[in-house]
Order: sequence, then structure tokens, then C-alpha cells
Amino acid sequence: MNFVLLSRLRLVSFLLAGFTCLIYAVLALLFDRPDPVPFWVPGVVGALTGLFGLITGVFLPRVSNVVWDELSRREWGASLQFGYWMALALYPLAGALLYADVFAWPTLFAAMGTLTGAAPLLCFAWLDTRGA
Amino acid sequence: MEKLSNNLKELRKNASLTQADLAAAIGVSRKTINTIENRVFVPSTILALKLAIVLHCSVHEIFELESD
Repeated sequence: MNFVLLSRLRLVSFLLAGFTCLIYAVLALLFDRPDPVPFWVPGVVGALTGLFGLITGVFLPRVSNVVWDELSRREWGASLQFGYWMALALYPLAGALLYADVFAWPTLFAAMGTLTGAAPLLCFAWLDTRGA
Repeated sequence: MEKLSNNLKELRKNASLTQADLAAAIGVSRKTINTIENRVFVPSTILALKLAIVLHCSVHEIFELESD
């Protein structure tokens, strides 16, 4: 496997996991329920994405090192920063929605969790495709 | 404020290397080389030294500080 293919597979896996989390959160808010689809779906997709990264890192170290080169690691760091601030910003927003009695707390809890997962994954996918 | 400019594109072309060739030689992606050439990404000292080795020049020939 060459690094171009692995880089594309990484992008697809991040997009898949990110959009799964994002869609789960949107559906949770739309239907005002914490499990709009089976609750384990975002977790399993996220775990498979992590497993893919782990397997490629172990069995294809040379190619994986190129894919996760200095620029990629910096972009991942920036994505994690974005995810951190997004997670913090969700607390007052969720508090306000809870106070206004717009959503029940289990719904907000599910939406906050999945949005927190989606933020760094989708941010990295966006940074990865920019200037490629 | 000082900015970091570079002559990487010229030096790479003088060495008859494509971005992909240079990327493969130092073990990074082609995008990394592209973003360095376009001054979007400032590489680490280690990467700068690797570039200098492959291009047979000093780091100072690749990178230089320029004032506004």
C-alpha cells in the first residue's frame, strides 16, 4: 500500500466517523431523544477508525510515518485544539437549552458527546484536504 | 515583524526534483513540500536539515528571514 492510498483511506475513515457522530447529534436533537439510532453506532465507528490507525501503524510503519508526517501531526494538534474549545463551548450552550427547557438532559448529553467526537475528526478532514 | 521566506522551489528545480521526489527522499507527503514552498507551513529544524542534505546545500540557502 502506498502513502497516497493510505492517506485517502485515513481521510475516508475520519469523515465516516465524524459524520456518523454529527448525524447522530443532529438526529438526537431533531427527535429529542438520546438514541435516535442504536446508541453504540458512533462508538463502534469511532473504535473501528482507531483500530484502522493502529493496525496500519503496526503493520505499515514506513508508509504510516509518511502519512502521519510533521504537517499531519501539526494539523491533528490543531484539530484537537478545535475539539477542546468546541467541547467547552457546548457546556454553556447546553446549559442555556436545558434552562429554557428546549431539550431533555439525556438528549443534550448524547448530542454533546457525539459533537465533541465529531469536531476534531471533521476539522482534521477539512485541514487534510486543504492545499493538498 | 520578520517573516521566514524560502528558496525551496528554485533549489528543488535546480536539483531536477519534483515535489513528489523530494517528499519521498525525506519521508514526508507531497503536500508538506507544497505547503513549505508556499510558505503556509514552517518545518521543524530536523526537516529543514533533511531538506538541506537532499538538496546538497545549507539550511541558510533554503530559508532566510526577511523584514517587512
